[in-house]
Amino acid sequence: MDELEFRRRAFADPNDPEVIAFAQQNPEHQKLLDELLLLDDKINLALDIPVPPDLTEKLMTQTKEAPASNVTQGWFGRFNKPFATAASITLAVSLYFLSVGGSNDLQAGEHALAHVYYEVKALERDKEVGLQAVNEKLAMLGGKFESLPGKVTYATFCHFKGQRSLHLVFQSDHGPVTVFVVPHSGDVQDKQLGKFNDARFTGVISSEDKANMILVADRNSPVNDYQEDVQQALRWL
Amino acid sequence: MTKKQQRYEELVKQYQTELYRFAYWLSKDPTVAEDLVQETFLRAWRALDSLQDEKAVKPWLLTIVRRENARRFERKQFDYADVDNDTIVDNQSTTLDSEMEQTVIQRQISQLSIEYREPLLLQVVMGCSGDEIAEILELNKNTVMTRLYRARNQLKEALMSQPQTMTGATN
Repeated sequence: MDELEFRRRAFADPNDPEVIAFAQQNPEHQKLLDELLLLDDKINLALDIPVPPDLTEKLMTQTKEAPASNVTQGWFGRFNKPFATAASITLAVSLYFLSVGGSNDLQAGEHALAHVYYEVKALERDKEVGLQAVNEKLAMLGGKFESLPGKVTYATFCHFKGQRSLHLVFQSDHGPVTVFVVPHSGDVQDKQLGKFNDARFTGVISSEDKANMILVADRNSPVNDYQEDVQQALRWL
Repeated sequence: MTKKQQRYEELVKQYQTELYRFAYWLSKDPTVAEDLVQETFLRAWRALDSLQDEKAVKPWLLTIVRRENARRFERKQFDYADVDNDTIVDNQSTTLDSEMEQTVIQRQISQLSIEYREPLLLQVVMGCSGDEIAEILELNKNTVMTRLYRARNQLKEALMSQPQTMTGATN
């Protein structure tokens, strides 16, 4: 990536992991990227207009006057192909859940696993992200780390079930541990708190002061201990 | 409650806020935005049986919002060229400075031409990837990335020219 490409890609998508990694090698690039992330945060806040309070009710009641039909819209067909791969991933994740059973309510856990698989390369990084860089991002969600729970190798904003969230990876004795910090305005409900797992990973969802925290670690790791470590290091501003 | 109703309610809960925000900033009119979201979910209800693939739901909903929005212009010619102050909503519980800044940003976003505003909304509000935006807008990805670049570039430049409101900027 050269200077011009960095600039174009950073403006087009400041959350692009390759752009973030490239910026870390040069303070000037990092400065521009930080400005763009701040701008995105401001754009997000500015766009966050309140939804009419009675909209949910209107949407829920309108179906009672409109019986469902099985008519397939012709143009819908063109969406099928590009999403076939995605669908098979979803199916694979769902099958994991069926195999472990009893996890019907853990949509957030399911989403976390799918997210980790989708960005599985994030687990393979080894370049360290400093405390300050992590805190600059965490501050936008109202939090701060007193110390890091381990060597952080990935820290970027992501969308968790549509909610702008922080995606961290730190290294533990049992391999990389992923942490999602998802603001409470996101779609993680209380009933989804607790543990979840599949054949490869185990995870836990907890509700903290200003955000839900989701950890995903190797299946054989003491994920509750890591959860405690992160909770103890985390302060809310 | 039938399974179908249950699934519909889940879709409403999952997407209504983002979809309303997208529709609002697309149409720049709260009443129109509400109509667009209602119409979109009504169509989703009718087509629910064919919407089995969860990953396809979001682009499906977005395509309906865009299509219904475009149809307004076929039915009647509105003049939305200027930003109407009445439709700019301030957020609550913010300081004066950030309120001013938000109003400035809202105005700048409203003034972005639709070809730049729409991909930015899809990326920031709906959390779509470049590939998803390309699919929804029926453009190639390079075009999408160029438009996103220009959208942020224009916003950044516009905000730089208003230094008194940029409380958090570094230069």
